[in-house]
Amino acid sequence: MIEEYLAGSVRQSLERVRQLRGIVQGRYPREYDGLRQNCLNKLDQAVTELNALMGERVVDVEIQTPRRVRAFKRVVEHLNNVEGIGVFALNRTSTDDDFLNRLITDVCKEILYPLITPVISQMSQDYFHIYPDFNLLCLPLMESRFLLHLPDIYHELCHPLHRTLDLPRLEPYEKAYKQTLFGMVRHYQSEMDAADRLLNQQARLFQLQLWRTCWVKYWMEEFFCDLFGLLAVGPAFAWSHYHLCIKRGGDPFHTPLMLETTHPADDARMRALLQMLRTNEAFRKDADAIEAAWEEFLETMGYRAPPEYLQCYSGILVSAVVAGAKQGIEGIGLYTAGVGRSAPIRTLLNDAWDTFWMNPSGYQAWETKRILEIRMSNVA
Amino acid sequence: MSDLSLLNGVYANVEVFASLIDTVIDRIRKDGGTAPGHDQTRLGQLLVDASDHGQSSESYEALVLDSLLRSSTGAPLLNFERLGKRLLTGSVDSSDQKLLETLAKGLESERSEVASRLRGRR
Repeated sequence: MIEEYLAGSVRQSLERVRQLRGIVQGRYPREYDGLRQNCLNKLDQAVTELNALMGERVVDVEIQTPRRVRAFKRVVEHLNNVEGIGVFALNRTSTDDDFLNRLITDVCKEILYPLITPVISQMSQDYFHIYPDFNLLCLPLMESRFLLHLPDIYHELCHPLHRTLDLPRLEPYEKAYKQTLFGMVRHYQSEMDAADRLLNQQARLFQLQLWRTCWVKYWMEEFFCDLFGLLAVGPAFAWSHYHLCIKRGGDPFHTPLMLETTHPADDARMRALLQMLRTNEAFRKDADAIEAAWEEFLETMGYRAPPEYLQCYSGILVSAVVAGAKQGIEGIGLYTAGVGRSAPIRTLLNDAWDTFWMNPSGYQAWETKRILEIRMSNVA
Repeated sequence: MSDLSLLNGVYANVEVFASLIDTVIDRIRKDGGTAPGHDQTRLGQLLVDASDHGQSSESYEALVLDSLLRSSTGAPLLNFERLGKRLLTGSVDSSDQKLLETLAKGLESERSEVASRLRGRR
């Protein structure tokens, strides 16, 4: 029965591909050419895989069919992604997207971004995120009209580096990332060895194992992306983290005890950002101001670190991450923020935060005016 | 900044390893796996390396595979080293095929979990 189902369902999927191709072949602005080609390549790949499934001779149902169903599910997921991400973005291009695509092109030029500039779409229903497979950066609908969150674009630009670590030009980054990752594994291994020598330490071993998995799967990349953002745009990135944590964050000391989490604790991320900021003499005062604001926030809201927090995000570990990220990011020649290092968009984003703090209640008028000027100018 | 960027990365890794395991399962079905080909050797070595989280070999791929072949609480799915060595030497029997199927199911479960989280936030 299941094989008969596959025979019919594979044909349905092939028809879906045919119709999606029709949409991708429509008329769109030139900056979407890369995204269109990407969608077409993925559709071609799906056709190849669907044809292979259709043409396979089934001899042993017990062994072949579970594998075939798994393979079919993976192709369907690819098709869902092309439809729900790539084609969806193409289908809803707008003038705001055009503005943001000019902006991201300038951002990438400014910082000497080592990969192809992504396409931007304001299709995110959550927050900033990127689909490295589509080279598509998604922002919430209104985000092109405000400046204070835009530094987070720089964080997202770093995720695709992690999907292309084998590129020769990323070698220094790859080396530093992997060294830091294995350093973390060794750190937890020694903690586990120490726990193992004592009796009744199962719960502790379990926790260490969970934290190590979180670091490998998610956290190390997220820390590196934060630090990439900070080095690329400067203090504005740390302010943006502060902004996001207050508006949307939960407990900034959250430490997983039972189940993995995708994002590391916001306080640990802020500690890493401040440490990185202080590696540049020019940003020490900014770091002090951000730290004071952060501590006031923690105090006001009554957040307290649980006992496990500093075991999970120990000072040694965070310092090693900061050192590794600095080595890797500077190693690939990113045009980092610093005194006398001119970059108009970076300056604008830092000016936005300076202006905000000089006169928080009067900031909106300044921002509205600046956004209008930028949209009218050729700068972005 | 949202979960999506990170989950996409995990999804891509899961797919690579899931396809590799399925290819090896299929190969063993066809020829018994007694003369390990490229994919079987690669998977065997990855599993051996993953048994100490890629530390001795400094294999990043093995470290990532190890992180994926764990439950959401971080517990490993099975003893990687034994299975890896048997794949490398070509001494594979039906119990190893079952273990490979366990790994494939584990990755499929991770894949569908990540996919549904991706869809839920889209």
